[in-house]
Amino acid sequence: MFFVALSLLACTQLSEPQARMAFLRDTLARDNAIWLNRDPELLEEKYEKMADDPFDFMRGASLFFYSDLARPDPRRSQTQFLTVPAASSILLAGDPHPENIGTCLPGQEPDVGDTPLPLIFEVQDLDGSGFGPYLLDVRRGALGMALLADSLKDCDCVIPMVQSFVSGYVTEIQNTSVDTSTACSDTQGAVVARLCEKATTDAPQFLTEIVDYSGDTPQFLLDTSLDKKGKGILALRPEEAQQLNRLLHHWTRQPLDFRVLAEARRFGVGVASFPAVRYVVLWDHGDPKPDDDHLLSLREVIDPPSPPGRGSTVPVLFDSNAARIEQVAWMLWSRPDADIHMAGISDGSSTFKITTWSGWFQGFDHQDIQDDWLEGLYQIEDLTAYAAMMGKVLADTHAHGITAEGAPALPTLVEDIHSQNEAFIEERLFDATNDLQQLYVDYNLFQEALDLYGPLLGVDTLVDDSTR
Amino acid sequence: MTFDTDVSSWVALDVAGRMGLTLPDTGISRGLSLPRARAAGGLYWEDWASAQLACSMVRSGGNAGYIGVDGEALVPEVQIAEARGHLPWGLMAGAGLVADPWVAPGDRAWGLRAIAPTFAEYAGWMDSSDMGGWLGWQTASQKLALRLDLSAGEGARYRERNEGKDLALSMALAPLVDPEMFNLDLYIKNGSRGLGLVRDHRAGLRIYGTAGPIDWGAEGLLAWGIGGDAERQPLAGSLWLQAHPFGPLLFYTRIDHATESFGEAEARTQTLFAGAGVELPDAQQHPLQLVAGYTHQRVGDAVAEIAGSAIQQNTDILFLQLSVSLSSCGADCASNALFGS
Repeated sequence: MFFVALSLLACTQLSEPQARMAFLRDTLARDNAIWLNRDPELLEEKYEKMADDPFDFMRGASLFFYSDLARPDPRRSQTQFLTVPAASSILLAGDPHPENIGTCLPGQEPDVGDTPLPLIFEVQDLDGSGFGPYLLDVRRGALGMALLADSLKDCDCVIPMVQSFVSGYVTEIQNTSVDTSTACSDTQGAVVARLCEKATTDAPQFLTEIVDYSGDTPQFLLDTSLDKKGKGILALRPEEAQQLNRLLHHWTRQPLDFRVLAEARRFGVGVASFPAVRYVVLWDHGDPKPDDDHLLSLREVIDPPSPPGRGSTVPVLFDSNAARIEQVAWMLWSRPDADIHMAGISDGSSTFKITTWSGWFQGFDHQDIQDDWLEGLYQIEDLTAYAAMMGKVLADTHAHGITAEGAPALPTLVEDIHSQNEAFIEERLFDATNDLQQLYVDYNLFQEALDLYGPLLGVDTLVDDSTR
Repeated sequence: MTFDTDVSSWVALDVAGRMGLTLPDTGISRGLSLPRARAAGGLYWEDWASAQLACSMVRSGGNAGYIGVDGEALVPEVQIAEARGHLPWGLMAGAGLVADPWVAPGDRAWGLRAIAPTFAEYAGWMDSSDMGGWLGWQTASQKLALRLDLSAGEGARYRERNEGKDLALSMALAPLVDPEMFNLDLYIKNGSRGLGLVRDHRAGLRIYGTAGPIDWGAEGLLAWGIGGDAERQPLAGSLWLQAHPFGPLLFYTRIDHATESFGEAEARTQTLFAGAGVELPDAQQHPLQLVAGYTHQRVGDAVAEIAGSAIQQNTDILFLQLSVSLSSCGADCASNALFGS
């Protein structure tokens, strides 16, 4: 009887695409469990956004990327790096895709008429940061660059852009001194210049596009109903207002004479964190005129995905998620005041991140780059210069960080790459082209899964049913 | 609270603390740990009904998460919550969160759960319990036992995720006059896991016994699908020996070997456990164990989480562990390999 059953078991098998789709659905369900149980409608919108664009799919599926890398499959490409033990426990940026690196305005945000400091580039969102192999950040950044390059019509620039990105990374690792910042300059090509220009021109009118100053007191311009993409600003519900008050009350580094003028909830932003709770606050220092008015964003942050490749499990090394958010930014940014309001605040089991919300802080948008490319605004040299700058910013980010032992990360990175720049670039290029092809396969499987199983990938049965 | 006089009870506690050194040192202190903290108890009503509850300790928030309970405090996790009926003709039935019929007997056969779980649990191939029910039968001599399990297939930590049910058939045989000398376990499971109803089948064979001062055992486990990944189809074997040469001395060693095939490529993982210690007050009754142990894990290039990474291919752990295992029912708690308490 046992042997008959054994032979029956051996015959059952899903096809490879079916098996991969199942793996994808399970991983996404695990990654989004918190939203699934709390805001399934917002999770549906997140999945819809991921299904609309392979770039958004990549952004929303980082845990799947990590989980796939960790599968014990001998067909995976092998690295000749990661030979230094500490190289497996570097403080990572988390998800350094092209839209996650953008401009920051160090120091105090200027009031109307003040002259701002020069803009610098940083990894803006460090929510996925934790300790792990530095190669993961480089690999994920290279995949994002390859995907962006591949989306540019008739560009044929995957290889030059990825090469420039990785070359920018290793060159900076060999040369960097950890006090460097990458500022907006004329030598970074038209792609970078355009973002710097956008930040400078958008910032002055940023407030007036969001706030209505026609009445006695300023108010956010609310959307009475959210658009089809679920994007917009809505009035707070009572419980949301209470939570926001608690968060602001516990914000220990409030600016002098901090005064709240208006509050609201913001929807439809981001991809991976699309369903996260977001609040926006209009505040000033007490001047009745709007010249000193500024905006804050408060966004819920969950646990980062656990990256593979750390050998044994690495325990968390920060006191709390709120401490992680703050300390990681202070360590990894080239200047701790890259966003002077950055703070992490706990509210029960939830954690929120406070950041400045202003036109000075701009991120690259893959669709803008695609449109500008179609309009002929860029040459391939602009794209490679942009990619090299992104690689440099990632290298500076790593260089500012530490190993899990608390030592500076840079010597470990230099030792691990040990001047084998060409081999490093070649290996990353090989991985990026393979990862790109795999991403398209997975993107198609994701779309098929939504068609087959519905907007929540068939996990509806797990919602609000604690007895199962 | 008072009980009917026909109700009897048992409790058991297993606790172990460890101080260790892990190499290569990636800069993370993993020196102090709690490899085992489990509390179990049960009530019997004559020979007809019983219920048991077992909890182990887990770190809330996991080992890499911050969203926990009161920080990342250790919290009890229900491992077994089982209602059991004892029927005529040697039949038994259980339902609830029940112990896995391969993992739990394996723990009893290996005997050093506080040092390491048996291969299936250690490698993450199987969970120690699952939501479901079972029907069992054993001969009056207890030399043969059969058990049929129907379960959700997601383990104790997850709710049911698909319409499929796991069906497992297990057999425990002790053919010799002295049942401790030789035992044979057979196990086969047709299972599914996760939203995608991914295959999660297992087939296992285990032999174990006692020869003088030596406890020995060997098992093989074949899997089709691991952790929701249908493409994995590994085979594993495990061999172990425990020696109690004289007095309170204990020596143990175990070798696990797993092989996975992907097309023409193969991936291998080997783990060696070895150690020596004392069991007090003696080898027969030994609630207290002090063990100095060594664990070496070698994964092939392809199995390392980052393929090719040299520093992930060899891990060595040296440790000193103090364990206490106390039970009010002694050997009766494990009266039968398949049914346990």
